[in-house]
Amino acid sequence: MSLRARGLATKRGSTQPELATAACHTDKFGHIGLPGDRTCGFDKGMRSSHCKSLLHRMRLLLLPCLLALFALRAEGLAQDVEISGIPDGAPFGVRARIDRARLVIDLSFKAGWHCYARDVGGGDPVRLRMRKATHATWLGDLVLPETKDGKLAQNVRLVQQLRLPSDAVDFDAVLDLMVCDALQCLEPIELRLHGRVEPLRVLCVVDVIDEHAERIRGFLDERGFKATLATYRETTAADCEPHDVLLCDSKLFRAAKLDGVRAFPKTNKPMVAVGFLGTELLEAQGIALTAGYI
Amino acid sequence: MDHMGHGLALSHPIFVHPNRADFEWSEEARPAHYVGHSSPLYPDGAPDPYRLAKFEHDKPSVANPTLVSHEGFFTDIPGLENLAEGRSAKALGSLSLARQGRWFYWGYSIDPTRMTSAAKDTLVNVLYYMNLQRDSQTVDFVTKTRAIFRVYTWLGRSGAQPYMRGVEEHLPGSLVPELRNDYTASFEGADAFVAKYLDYLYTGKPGMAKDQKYGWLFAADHDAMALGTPNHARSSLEQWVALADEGAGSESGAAEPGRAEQRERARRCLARYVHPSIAPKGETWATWYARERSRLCFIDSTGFWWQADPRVLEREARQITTK
Repeated sequence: MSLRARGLATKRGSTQPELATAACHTDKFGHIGLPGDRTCGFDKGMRSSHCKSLLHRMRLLLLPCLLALFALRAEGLAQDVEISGIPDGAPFGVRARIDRARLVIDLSFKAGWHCYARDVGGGDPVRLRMRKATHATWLGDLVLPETKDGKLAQNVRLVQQLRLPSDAVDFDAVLDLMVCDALQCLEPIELRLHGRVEPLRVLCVVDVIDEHAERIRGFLDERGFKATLATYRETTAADCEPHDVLLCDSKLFRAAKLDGVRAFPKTNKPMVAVGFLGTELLEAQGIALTAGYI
Repeated sequence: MDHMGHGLALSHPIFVHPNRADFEWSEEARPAHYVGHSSPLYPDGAPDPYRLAKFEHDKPSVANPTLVSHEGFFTDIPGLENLAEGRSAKALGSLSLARQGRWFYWGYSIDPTRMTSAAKDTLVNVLYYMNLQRDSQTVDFVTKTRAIFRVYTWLGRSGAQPYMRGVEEHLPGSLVPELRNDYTASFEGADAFVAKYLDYLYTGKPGMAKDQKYGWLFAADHDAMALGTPNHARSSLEQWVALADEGAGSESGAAEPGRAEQRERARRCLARYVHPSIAPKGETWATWYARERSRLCFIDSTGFWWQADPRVLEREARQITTK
C-alpha cells in the first residue's frame, strides 16, 4: 500500500513520514440556519393568562437566541462562500467571502503548520483554480502576504481580484494547498469554494430623502448594488446590520442638515463618509481621520 | 476644497478595480503657498506645474471644508491611507480621499449629476474596497499630535503680512501654563521651542489639563528629557526597559552615582507611555518586551502611548477557530 493511499504523505526531502488525517468531509463556515418557521406555532390556541405568561417568558428566553441567530445570519451575508474538502482535524481553519470585485480567503494555521507561497522545496505553493462552470476572470495573480522563507503561517489572507459578467451569479473554484509542519505534509488538499455572488448591499444614509437622495440610489442600483435609503436621524445600529457597506452622504457645507449625524450609531460595518457631514460623522465616531478639519 | 483633486495614488485599488478611473486632467502652476512644503502624497513637495483631476463637473457653489493631513492631527495612525488631496486655499496636504480602518472619507459630492465619469467609477471601486475592510481595525482619536507645533513654525510666515496668530495664540494656548513660561511668542520663538521640546511633548493622559478651545494641553516630559530619550523612539523604550529592570547593584553600572534616579525616571516613563492594556503583569520589563516587541508602535493621537499596532491586532483577530 502506498503512503498516500494510507493517508500518509512525505515532506519533500524528509525521511520521516508521519500519520496524516486525510479523510475528507464537507464543511461550511458562517451559515447558521434559522428555524424553518420563525413563529414556530407554539402560541396557537393558547388563551389562558397562565399560558400567556408562560408564552411571554418563553419569548423572553427565545428572543435573544433568535436575535443572535439573525445577527450571525446577517454577518454571514450571502457573499460568504461555502467551502468543502476540509480534512477532519485539519490544522487550519478557513473562510472565504466574495463580491463582484474580489474573492478573499482567510486561513488560520495552528502553531507549527504552514502552506507555501512559492516553491522552496517543501511543498507545492498555494494555487487558486476556477472551475469550468464559473465565468469569472481572474485579474492578476492571487495576492499573498509577504514572506521571507516562502512559508505562510498563522493568519493568512489571500485576495484574488476578479471580474464577473453582469449576469453571472454562481461561483465555483478550487484552492490547492500543501499543508505541512516541520516534518511532514498532509495529503495535497483541494478546497472547493462555491456559492452565489450577490450584489453588495449599500445603506445610503442621507439628511433628507429627496430627489438628490433618489438620484444616488438610482446610480447605485444602476451600477449593480442593492441600495436602500435611510436618514441619519432614524437609522439604528440594527438597520445597518443587513448591509455590507454604509454610504453616508452630505450636501454642500451649510446646505446639509446635521440632524442625527453626531448621534449616528457605531456599527461594525464599513462606512464611506461624504463631504461636510462626513467630517462631523467621523469625528463623532471617534475617528481621527477628520480631526484636521480647518 | 473644490471639485478637483491632485496627488492621486493612482495605483491604489480604488482607482483601478473593478473600474479603471479615467480622469480628465489639467495642469496648473503650483500655488505659492504650496512651495517649500511636503505632505503624505508629496513627500518631496508638489511639482510645478502640478496635475489636477476633475471629480465634479464644476466648482461647488460654496466652499467645502478642508482636511489638512499634515497639521499634526492624525497621520501617525498605522494603516492610514492617504489617497488624494483636494485643492486647498490653506495648505498642501488637504485630504479629499482617505481611509482609516473601516472608515473612508470622500471629500466630493456623490450626486450623480455632479460626479464626473471617473469619480463615479472611483466611488464604485471605493464601495467594493471598503467591503474588503470590514474587519479592519484602528484606534480611537484622543488628541492632535505634536506635529502641529512644527506647522506653527511655518504657517503664514513668508507672506508680506505674516500670520501671527499661530505663534502668538495657538501655540502657547496649547501648552500647560508652566511650559508657556519658556516660550517667546514669535516665529523664532516657535523654532526654539520645537528644537528643545518637540521630542518630549505629551498630552492626553488621564488627569492632564484640557482647554475649551485647544483641547488637551501639551506638557514636556522632564524625565524623558533628563534621560535624553525622545518618548516616541524605539531606542528610548529599550533604554527604559533596561534601566527599569536593574536590581540595586546587581548589574553592571547599576551602582553608578545617579543610577537610582535614572531608574526611577525610566520606570515613570514606562508607566506614562506603555498602554495599560498591554503593560506587563507580574513579569520583568525585559520579558514583556521580548514578547511584545513586534506588536508595538507609538501613537501620539491616541494619547501618546506605546501600544499594540492596530494592524497587528487586525491580523490576530482573523484567527479562525479550528475544530
